Amino acid sequence: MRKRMFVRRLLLLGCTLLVGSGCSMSYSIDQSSESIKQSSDSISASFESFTSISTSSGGGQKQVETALQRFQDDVKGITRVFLNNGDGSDNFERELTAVAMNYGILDWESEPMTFEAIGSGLRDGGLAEEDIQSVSFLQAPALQQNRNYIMEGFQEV
Amino acid sequence: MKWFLAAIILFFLTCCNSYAKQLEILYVNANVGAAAGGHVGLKLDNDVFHYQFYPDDRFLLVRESWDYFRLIYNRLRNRTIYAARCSISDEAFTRIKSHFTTLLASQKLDFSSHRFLSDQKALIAGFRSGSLELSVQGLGFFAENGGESESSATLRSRIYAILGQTYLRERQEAITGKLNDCLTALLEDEYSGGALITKVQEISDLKKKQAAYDIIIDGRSLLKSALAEGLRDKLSREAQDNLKRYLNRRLKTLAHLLASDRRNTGEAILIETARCLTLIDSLTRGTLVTLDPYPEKATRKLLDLGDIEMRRYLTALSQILKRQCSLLLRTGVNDVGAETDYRYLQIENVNGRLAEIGGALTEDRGIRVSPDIMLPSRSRTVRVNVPILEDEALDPALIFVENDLSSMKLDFEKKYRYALIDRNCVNELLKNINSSFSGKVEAEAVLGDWIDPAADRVVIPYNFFYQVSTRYHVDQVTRYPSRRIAEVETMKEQSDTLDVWFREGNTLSTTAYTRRTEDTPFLFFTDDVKWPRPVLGLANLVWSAAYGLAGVITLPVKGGEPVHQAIRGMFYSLPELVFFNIRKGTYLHDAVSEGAHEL
Repeated sequence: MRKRMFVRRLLLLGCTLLVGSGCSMSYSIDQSSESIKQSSDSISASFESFTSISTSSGGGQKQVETALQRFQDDVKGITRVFLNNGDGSDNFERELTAVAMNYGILDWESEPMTFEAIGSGLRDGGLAEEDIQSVSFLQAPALQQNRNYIMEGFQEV
Repeated sequence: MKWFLAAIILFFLTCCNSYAKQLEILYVNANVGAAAGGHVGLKLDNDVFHYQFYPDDRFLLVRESWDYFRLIYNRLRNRTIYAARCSISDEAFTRIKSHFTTLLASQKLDFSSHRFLSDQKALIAGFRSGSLELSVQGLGFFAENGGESESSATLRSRIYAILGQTYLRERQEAITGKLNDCLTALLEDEYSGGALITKVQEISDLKKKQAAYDIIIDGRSLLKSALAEGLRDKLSREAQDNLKRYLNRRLKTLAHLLASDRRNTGEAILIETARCLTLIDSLTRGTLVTLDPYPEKATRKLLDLGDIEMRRYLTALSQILKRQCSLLLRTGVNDVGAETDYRYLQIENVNGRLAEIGGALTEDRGIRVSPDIMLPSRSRTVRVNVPILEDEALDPALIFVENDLSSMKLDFEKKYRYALIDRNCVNELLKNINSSFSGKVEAEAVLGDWIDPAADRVVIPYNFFYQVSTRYHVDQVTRYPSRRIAEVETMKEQSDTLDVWFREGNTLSTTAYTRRTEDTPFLFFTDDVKWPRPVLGLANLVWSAAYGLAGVITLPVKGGEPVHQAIRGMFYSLPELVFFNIRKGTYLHDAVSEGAHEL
């Protein structure tokens, strides 16, 4: 069995090396990691994008819940990154704005879920409750004014 | 009694199990092109995390919904997915998901920091000439000049009703005052390095805010080209009531943004103003108007309008979108919360895409594409006159930014490079699954074993999946057959297997697949047969060679492409001679009937 596995592995490795990358190329083949390049060489990617409409913009409650869960996950994610990097509050607000805009939320300041997710991210990042007050990127007024929601998110299990 | 106890134990086990979460390792089998070695991913709930290679040589972590992942790999790329499911505790699940979302956030932050610094560099350089060029998101929706529109006047009066008659003017004056103070301070005080960068950013934020207030106060109208009119049906009473609620929500958001002391609200104010105007227009006209959601850099694909299949597909797709748009408009909403914001974003996206398909089918202008949900944010560049600063003041700041950009570049080369053996979709995923845990002991307790990417020489997707299946605590392996195989399997259930194979096993008579140039010339499908594979592979090799020969003859007429595809075809036939299959064929688009169930 092990010998067969070894032979199979060897052949697969050979095929992979011969044929090239063993990983997937970005779906929209013209899409660079940062920006989208202009191109008209292939239309397959356009159909891939268009057929995704029914999944990405569906009208169901499930899609909305999934999107808002992702928004909170993203806020938790950037909170943990800022906690590790020790960056300033101005940049944190900018990143929050960018993340929220991806979900159509332009006024994240009036969304309690933003601050609850920040609190949850701080807890996941291993911060002690008594240290929240001294976190440098939470010093902006918008974040100070919503400290109660941050605490709620921190304490939520 | 024994049965009763057993029932209680079973009940508890079921209850405990309901708290358990599932982690699934996905293996996607090979196909032609960059997918020749297969692919792997990690599925957590509805999210799939996997690594992808981008044409600008970056190798990045991406997150996709399971539906979208299946659409791409199963249905369009026609590849079979295998999922090895492990039950893990809630805590372990949260830890792994947190780790991957943090990685994703860190990656996004790296790129946004790079963009931010590049913008800063351009802005600082503008002080040499005394003129800054500032790109302002949302400004591109508005006419640069011209009279006040009726909807703009309505909007302004609604804002006055919320914030007071004098509020906008007072704030506008305060912003202009602050902006002038900043510009004066640049001349009078000595700013250099980081301090100058901060000041320049403040000027940029203030200018964007000023532009937003000017638009509202001057009552600028929306450009016709900024609008999307996809759904042309008359709005029902129910839809109009919902649009009124959306308008109330947008107005509340706009008023809050106008009153906020946060520095970077200018662009959000512009976008919300434009959205309010489209809602007022929609209610006045009785038909839906939204902002064009496509970014300026959206890829535009050329369409062959003579392609009947494509036209049929796009027509059917627009019917789906039309129904989807009507459904979204009928869905009850309230005027608070992020849920309402996201629903409105969906309306803008569906209506925008609908308008795009309509335009592409009637005008020969191609079609813009964007796979993601888009926030309408068309930008325009404004020129800001600033004092000319001396080189002594600017150079240190520019050096500061350039140094940061250079170190970022080096860092990115290390962090986001692709290497066939050392850094591919398999070992990166495995490394990060492992580093979600405090160490080997914890990982073994949760997953059943510790697979080390280096010590276990985990490089190939198939091998990784084999190791996961045999070494982790896998409850179940689920197979999601490729589109063609799924269709053929259904046919075999309904009629004679041999008949189906004779018809569907080759590219000439198949009804489940349409030949595509990029799939390379081949005669037999070999992904669903094993022992006859070398014989069929030989036939494919000969077929490709014959195609190549014909390509040589037609070289002056058709160019080198047929020969190129024939060489590729011969190449992909070679593994079949030794019982391996790579090529499966791909699809241009999904069957519309399949997309319809998403509604």
